[in-house]
Amino acid sequence: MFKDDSVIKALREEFVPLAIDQHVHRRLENAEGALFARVLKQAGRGLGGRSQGVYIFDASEKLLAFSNTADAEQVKRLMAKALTSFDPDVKGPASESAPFKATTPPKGTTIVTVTSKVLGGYEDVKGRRTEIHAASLGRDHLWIRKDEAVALAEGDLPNSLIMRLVRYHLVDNTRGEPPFWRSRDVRVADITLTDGRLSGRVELRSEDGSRAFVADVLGHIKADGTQLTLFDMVASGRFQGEGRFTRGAPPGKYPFAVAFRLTRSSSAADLVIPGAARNNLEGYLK
Amino acid sequence: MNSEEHQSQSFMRRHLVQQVSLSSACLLLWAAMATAPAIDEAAFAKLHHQLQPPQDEAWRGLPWQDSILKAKALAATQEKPVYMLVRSGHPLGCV
Repeated sequence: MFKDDSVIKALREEFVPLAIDQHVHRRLENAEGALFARVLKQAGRGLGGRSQGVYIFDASEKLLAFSNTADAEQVKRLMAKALTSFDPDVKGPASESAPFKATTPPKGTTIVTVTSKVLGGYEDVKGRRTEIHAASLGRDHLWIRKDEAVALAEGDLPNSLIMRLVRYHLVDNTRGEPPFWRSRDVRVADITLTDGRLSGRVELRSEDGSRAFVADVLGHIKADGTQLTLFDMVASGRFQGEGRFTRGAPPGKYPFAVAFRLTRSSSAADLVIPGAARNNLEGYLK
Repeated sequence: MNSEEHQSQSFMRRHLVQQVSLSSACLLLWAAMATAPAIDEAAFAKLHHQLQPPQDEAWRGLPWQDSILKAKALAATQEKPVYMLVRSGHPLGCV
C-alpha cells in the first residue's frame, strides 16, 4: 500500500499515522492497552493476537472504518469511507496517562539493518499470496552492544554476537513472524573475523528436523577507533521449512539469503526493536 | 558350501556393504556441500546489493506515532482521524 503515492499523501495530510505491533500492545496493562482494546472491540476484534488490520478512528475513539487489508485500492476506499463520516468537531476527554514509550536501543548500541529474501523455489507453489511472498523482502534490525562493537573494532568477534546473529537473524521472515532458533538448534556457527573479513559457515536445524538453514557467511567490518563504520555481511544457503506464522514456504530446500548493513539514519523505522527482543530485550542482548 | 567358501562369501558381502556405505556417505557429503554453495566476493557483492531496500521509500518520512494515547491527542488538536496500522511484528519493521 505504501508504494501508492496517493496513500502516502493522504496519510501525511488527512490522518494521524500510527503504527502498532499487536504483539506488544495487546500485553499492555495500562491506559494505552485499554484504549487499544476499546478500538479493537468496535471492529469485533479482541486481544487474542489476531488484530492485524487498518483501524481509522476519531478523537472520541469512535471507529470510522476497519479492514484487514494491505491492498492500496482497498485502503483508499477505507480512507474515503472514514473521511466521509469524520466530524472534526468531535473530541473526546483528554487522557492524563503517560503515552506508551517504545523500547529504544540502549546507549551505545550499534544498529544494523537486516534484510532477507527467498531467492527461488516459488515456481511450483500455488497460492493467493505466492507472488507477494516471492517478491518480499524480510526486514529486521540487529542490535550490537557497545562492548561488542568495541571488540569488533579491535578485531575480535564475540560469541554473544555470533549467537544473537544466527539465532535471531538467520530466519526466514519474508512471510511473517518467524520462529527463532533455539541454542540447541545451532549445530554449526563457525564464523571468524580476520583482518576485517567475516567468513564461515552455519548449520541450523530444529530438533524435529522440520526447519533448517545451511549457509555460508561472508562479510566485511571496518571501524574508526571504537566506532563501527562498516558492517556488511551476507549469509547465503538453503533454507527448509516454515513456522506457524510463515506458512507458504517453497517446498523442500530453497535458496535463501540474509544481508546486514549498518543503519545510517535514525528514522522511527530504523529504531524499531528487533523482532526477537520484543518483551525479551535482556535475553536478546545477553 | 564348505566353511572356507562361506567365510569368503561372508567377507565379500561385508566388503560390498562397506563400499556401498562409503559411497552413500560420499553422496551425502556431496549433497550437503551442493546445498550450501560457497559464497565468494562477487556473489557477496551481488547478493548484498540485491537485498538492500529501496532508498526512496516515502512511508519512512511520515510522522508515525507509536502511542495510541498520543495519536488520539494529536487527532483532537490537528482535527484529523487516526490511521492505526496494526501488524504482528512492527509495521515499520516489516513493510
